[in-house]
Amino acid sequence: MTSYILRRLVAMVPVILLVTIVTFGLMRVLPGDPAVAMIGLEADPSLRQLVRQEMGLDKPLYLQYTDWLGRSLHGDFGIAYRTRSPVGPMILSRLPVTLELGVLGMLIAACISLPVGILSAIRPNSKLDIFGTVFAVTGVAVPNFWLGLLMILLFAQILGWLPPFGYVPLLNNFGENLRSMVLPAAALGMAEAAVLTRMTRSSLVEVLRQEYVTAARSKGLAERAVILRHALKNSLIPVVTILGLQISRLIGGAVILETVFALPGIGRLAVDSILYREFMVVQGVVLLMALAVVFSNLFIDILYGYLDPRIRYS
Amino acid sequence: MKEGDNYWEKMLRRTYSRRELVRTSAKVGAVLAGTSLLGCGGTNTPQPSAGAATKTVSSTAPTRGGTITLHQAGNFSGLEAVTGTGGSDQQFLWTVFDNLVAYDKDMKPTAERSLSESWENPDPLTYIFHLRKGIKFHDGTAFNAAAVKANFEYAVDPNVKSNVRADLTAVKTVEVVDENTAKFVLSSPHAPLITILGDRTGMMSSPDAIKKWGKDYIRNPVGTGAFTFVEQVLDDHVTVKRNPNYWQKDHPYVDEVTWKIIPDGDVAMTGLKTGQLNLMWAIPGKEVAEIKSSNKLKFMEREGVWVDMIYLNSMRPPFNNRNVRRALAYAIDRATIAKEILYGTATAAGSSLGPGNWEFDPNAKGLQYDPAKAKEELTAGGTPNGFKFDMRVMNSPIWVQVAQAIKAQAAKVGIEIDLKVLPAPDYYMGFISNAEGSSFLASFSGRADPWQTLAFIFGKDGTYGKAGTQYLDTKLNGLIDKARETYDPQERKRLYNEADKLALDEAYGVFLWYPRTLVAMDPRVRLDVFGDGKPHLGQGDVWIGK
Repeated sequence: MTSYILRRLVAMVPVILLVTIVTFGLMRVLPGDPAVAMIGLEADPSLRQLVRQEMGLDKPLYLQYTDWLGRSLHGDFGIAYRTRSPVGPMILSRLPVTLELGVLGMLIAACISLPVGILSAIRPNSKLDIFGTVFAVTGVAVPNFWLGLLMILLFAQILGWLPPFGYVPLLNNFGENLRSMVLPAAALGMAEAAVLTRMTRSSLVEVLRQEYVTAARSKGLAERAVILRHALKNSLIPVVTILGLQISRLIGGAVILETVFALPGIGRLAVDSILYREFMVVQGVVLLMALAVVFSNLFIDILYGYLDPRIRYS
Repeated sequence: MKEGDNYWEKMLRRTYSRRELVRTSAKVGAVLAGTSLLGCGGTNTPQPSAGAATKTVSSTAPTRGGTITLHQAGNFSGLEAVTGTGGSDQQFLWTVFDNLVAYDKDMKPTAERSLSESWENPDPLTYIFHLRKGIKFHDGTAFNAAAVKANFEYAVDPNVKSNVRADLTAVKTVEVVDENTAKFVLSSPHAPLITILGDRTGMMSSPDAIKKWGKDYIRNPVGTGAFTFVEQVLDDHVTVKRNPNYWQKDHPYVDEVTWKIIPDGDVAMTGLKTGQLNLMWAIPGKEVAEIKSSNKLKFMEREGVWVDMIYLNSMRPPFNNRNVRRALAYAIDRATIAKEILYGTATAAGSSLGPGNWEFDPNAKGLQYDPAKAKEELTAGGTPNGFKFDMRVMNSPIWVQVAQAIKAQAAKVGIEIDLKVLPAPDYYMGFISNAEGSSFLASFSGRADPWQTLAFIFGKDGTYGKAGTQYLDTKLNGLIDKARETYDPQERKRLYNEADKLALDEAYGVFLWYPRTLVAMDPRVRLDVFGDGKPHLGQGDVWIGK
């Protein structure tokens, strides 16, 4: 197992490097003058050359990249040009917001999808199953930002139960933090829940048809034990695969929801930075996301080994 | 209990074992605990109480205390005056900085609000400012003539990314006459300087702080203002708090001002309605009717200096042809768009100068909707059957609607518009940096002095002159330069209006309408809306009553 993990880690390096090179290239290829993007519509045009110099844009491309690479290997990811904030600490300070949003979203998704999926699988074609299907199709079809706006309207404006925007850090006030995260996490989780429900249902239905399930039942095991202790674990493998893929979807969903709910997270940072040509920030954020995707894939693969003893890594 | 009953059947018959009972109670308890979190309220902004329903504001004396919470769609471009570039930074800057000469709500320079007690023009090339005595910056250092000189040198330093350099090109040097007297020596007469000093150019920073922070000063502003800078959390909020040693006695009235960064205008509006915000600037037009009729919120509006316009590239076809430009200007029914799409919150424009400037000429007609004249111009211009051009526009719903309305109106006279919808900054970036495209549709935020507006849009050193998209009209530039050197206010006003009339006649840009400044707030908040359309929250400009 250890050698497997080591080999995977080594294989990561060229992947990450390639991602950074492609990002670098794409940002440079974007049309328009980054200096104009930086200083905006109302600023004095004489600033442009100075800005370009300060951003290092007058240097040859390969030098710009190797400069960045060299410095980032030492932990210096440059500065966000407009605000002069160092990129590394900036990203780190915003990471918890997106992480919390993602984790809460996943939790909400799991809390909805597992019970609904299981119940649908046990009573196929019942009213519950049909409700589950409708819910799943709606959840996939509805854009999560629209759902988010509706929730703000209902829970914040009409009912007044929750705040419409804003983020309170977890360590400042646990209760307020949860209140500020409930709506965006729910909006994010609904779409995921829909997908996971379907996956859980179909996977469990498949497993329940297996011979070992019949064998367990005929041995006299309580139905609850059959489902929860035996069938479910095995049906989770495809669900776990989907979960791994959902991580990238979650990042995407976070971008829109962070903007709608005014959460200072990584997704919003990424979009703003691309629009305003903050090269350093974009490089840093994409690097982080690439690492997140690569490591989560590795984690999911290791999880398989735990879930299914037939899978062994050498 | 029958043999072979499965778990679900048992549940339905509600026969629980003790273990099951304990487990279920634990789950129920957890749910109840979660629900109780919904109950814990505790926002720390004042809720508009049901009692405070009256909209008629009684003229009581200003009261101390409270927090103003408003929103901004994006981060401030910078927290200091010289190197920041955004048009909406001033609301922050005026809390932390004071101006050498400041203007009042009608855009007239007034000593009462200024760091100068008085000023004079002994000759066209000299300004002398008599500074107030005993004022200190937030870091304890003294504000004096040496500080004014240091600020000027910072603003024109070639190594500084200075956004106010163009405003100071006429100033040769600043001399320290004595501790409290500063002399500006000009290389050419510059009459608008006094009004210009009311914006970024005249904001005084602590020279010590500039030296200490260097390039990072943009994040660590130190001024003489009514509030001191507390913190900025990017994409979340910016906070300033009351300066107890402010040189204006009893000012400011409120304890704190916080800007929450909320990209979505509808979400911010919800925040105003639920009490998270107690002030909202530039509310969407569609909300005006509801706010006006609500007794929980107060609505204020005023004509400002913003002008929505179509910027044209007058250096190449099709718009290098005067008749073609004029045809487009005649083809647009401004009043209808202002009424139907902008909910009546804008007034059809006949000038590049908004009504908020005191030099504004209410009789300026410009080129108003006249399809017959549009067709005449098309014929005179050699394109009797119309022509085609591309127009870029920002990807917000309102702008897209406006652009589509313009497109439909232009089509009626044979002008075909190819719309390109892009996010900011892309929709203007290509035009400005590479002279891409024929035109783009946007708001111009206006300026304290009309000279700045005219020079910025039409002048040879303005953004569009430099970008190579603005035809350099010698007569127009001559008028702009002459106005700059004319100290007599009435004569200068006449020259501004003459230059403006020429620019509109030549249709160097298509000026559409003046969006009014629209503000909504908790009824207890008291403030004046200034002619420049920007929030003034410093000095004694805002307070919260009962």
